[in-house]
Amino acid sequence: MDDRSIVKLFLERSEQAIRETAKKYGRYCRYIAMRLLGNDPDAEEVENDTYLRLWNSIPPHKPDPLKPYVGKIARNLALGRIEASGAQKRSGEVTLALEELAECIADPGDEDMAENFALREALNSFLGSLDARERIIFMQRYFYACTVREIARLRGMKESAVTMLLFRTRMKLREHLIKEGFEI
Amino acid sequence: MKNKDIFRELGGVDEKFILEADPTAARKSTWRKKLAVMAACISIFAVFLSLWLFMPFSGELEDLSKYSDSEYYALMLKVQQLASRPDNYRFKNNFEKYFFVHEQSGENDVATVGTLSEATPADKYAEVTDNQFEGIIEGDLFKRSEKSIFYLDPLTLTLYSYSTESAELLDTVNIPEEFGFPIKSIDHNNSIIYLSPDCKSITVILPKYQFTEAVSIDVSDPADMKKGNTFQISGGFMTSRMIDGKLLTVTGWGVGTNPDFPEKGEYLPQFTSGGKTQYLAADAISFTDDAWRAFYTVVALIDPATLEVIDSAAVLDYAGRVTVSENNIFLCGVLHERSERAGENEGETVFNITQKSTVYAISHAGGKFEHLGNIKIDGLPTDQYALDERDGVLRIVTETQETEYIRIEIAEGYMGAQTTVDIQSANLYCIDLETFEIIGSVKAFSPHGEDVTAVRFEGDYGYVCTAEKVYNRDPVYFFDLSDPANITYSDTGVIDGYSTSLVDMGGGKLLGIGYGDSDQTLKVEVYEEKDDRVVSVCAFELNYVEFSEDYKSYYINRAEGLVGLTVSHLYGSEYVLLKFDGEVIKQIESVAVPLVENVDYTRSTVIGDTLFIFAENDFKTAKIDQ
Repeated sequence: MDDRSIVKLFLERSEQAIRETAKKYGRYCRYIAMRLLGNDPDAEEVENDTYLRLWNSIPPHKPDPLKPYVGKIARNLALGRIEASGAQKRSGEVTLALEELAECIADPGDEDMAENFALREALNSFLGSLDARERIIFMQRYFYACTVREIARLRGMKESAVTMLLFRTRMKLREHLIKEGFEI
Repeated sequence: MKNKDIFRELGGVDEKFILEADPTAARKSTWRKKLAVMAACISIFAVFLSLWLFMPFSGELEDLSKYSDSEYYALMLKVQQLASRPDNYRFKNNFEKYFFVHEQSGENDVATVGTLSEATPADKYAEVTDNQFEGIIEGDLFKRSEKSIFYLDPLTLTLYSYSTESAELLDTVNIPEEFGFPIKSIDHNNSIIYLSPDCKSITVILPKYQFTEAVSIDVSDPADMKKGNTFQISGGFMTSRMIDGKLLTVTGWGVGTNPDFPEKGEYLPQFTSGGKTQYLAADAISFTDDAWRAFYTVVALIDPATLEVIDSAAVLDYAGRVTVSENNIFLCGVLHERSERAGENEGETVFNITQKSTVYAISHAGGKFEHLGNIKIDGLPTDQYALDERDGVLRIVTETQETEYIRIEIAEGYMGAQTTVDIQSANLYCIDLETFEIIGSVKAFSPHGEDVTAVRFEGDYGYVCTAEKVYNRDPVYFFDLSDPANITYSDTGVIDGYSTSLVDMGGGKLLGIGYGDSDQTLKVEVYEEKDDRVVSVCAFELNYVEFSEDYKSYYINRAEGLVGLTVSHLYGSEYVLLKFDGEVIKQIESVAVPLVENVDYTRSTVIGDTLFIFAENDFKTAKIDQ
């Protein structure tokens, strides 16, 4: 079933929408949760919570395409679970990814919505400025929390080359955020 | 802004970037396609061969019974259970299985670069770190001998040497950083140093990405320090100690998805020395039925002079809380125990998740590791000071988190969840290290919802501070553990502020360093037990300041009753030296130091009547009159 048909089922409040979403994107959703949380039971709960969040958010939202929308929700729910549990549920890859990103921004400060919005916009413009290979590898590492080994296998590269490319991209991000006026 | 912000806000980036990078989308490499086409064209034999090569695996778990004679068989079964993902099998077919190139990462090598010089000036080691156990040296940002003080500036990764006699800078050595920045590891394990017992060399521990680097600096002539050996330890750094001049490291090593049995490099932690790879022996690895992650916590004893791995051991668990006593290493792994029951309403199921720890004990007596046993208890120790060993009894304070949530059916076959109960409490256990049985305990002694903020054991006593952080108030508990089967305790009741570090000052006096009635108030308070109550003897408060919660950043001198630390305020930073004379605590010295960005990095000591203060790119001395 295509995405529009699934969204239509959500809009009609048909429970079939959840079954179709699970059939089409269940594995994708579990993959993201699993990468972040590192264990099956939590990933399964995040998957179920994602369907509940979809049910509650469509309508008013009408996502097209549906897949990245599902991915964003699953990722946010998994991150929320990590934060609520005081990092105990964080997978090793998330810990490593956070440590790596600490190179870009090292100065803790106040969080506010305006700054977060500005950061999101800065990240969008940064990603847009990268070439496709750099962007995909950066997103696979820091959005999907893939290991360096997995990325190397997916991209047909050596692990050391992936590590170096990620390092250079992080340095570019650091420079980009400085130019955008973020406090480093 | 925090690194977490970037990680979270990546979740809101343009959806085309998310779709583009989707790792679950099928991606076939062009060389495989070409190879398959070539094989099909050459001959029918090649077709059959290629069919055999490229026939996808069924995804079922490999039958490991053929390795039942292996000493690692039980471990292989456990690792397979934890690390296998049948729907994401590592080798999709025989081609990948038999022709996949296993790259040996240089990051795992233990290699020698350069050698130490032979200069041997007479000097004597003097400990400046307030180690938890005597003789078990903890890494720190500074160390000293009778003649020199060495301070590692963690921002620039430079080792500074100062004369204790003239208080002058003798020399500096910059430590090269191939990766640009020191990478912070879990807890406060940043870069640290050790001084060898003969005061000839400094070992700098640099936590790196997936490995740990140790750099030796020849300091036999402090006015002419030279970079010496560099070696690497596989795995992410957790913590370390120096025992009798040998370096004990605790690192973490994760097994990749779908390891290829019986290839040892796929599922066993390893060390490489002189080009020879050593795998941990089966009896050096301990695991329990409760193991839930294919992750090893590895302890290794290394001779920094020869780079020889003297002994190593591991547990199949992520054991992030580590305490090393005179005889044993205690590793604590966290696990979440789940149970379920029917809810009050039809279709509801109530799930309960309780945080538990598996505590593993490994003996390091005589420089050889031996697994002694393990035990599962409620809750998780908050830091290294929450565990202690005395007379064969392990004493532990844990913090328990218990969560209950109801799963509600939102559509046929699909459930949502709602958290209903979130309980937090503190427990104290005494465990016999021969039988690994609990011989005494006090469960849920703190009011629900309070955090354990500080723990200390000293002799027959255990001291605990729990706090209701939102309201900045706490009770302090004194536990009498002289008879572990009959533990008694008293407390202060609720008082303003809470301690983040506790120090036994002797004579029944306990000193707490922490917050007053606000998060910008430093409160140093002394407690004692009187008439079955814990009472405040005296306190010192400083308002509108920030200070470090890292115990190692404090100067503690129990014999002289001295406590020193750096505070930051709006206009700069100030070093404050306090003296407790048995009745009152008062400030005896205040030294202005340039604005310190991170008070965690300050270190100080008193030698004779001179106070030495170290901070990022800064160094001060002051004469004190006690």
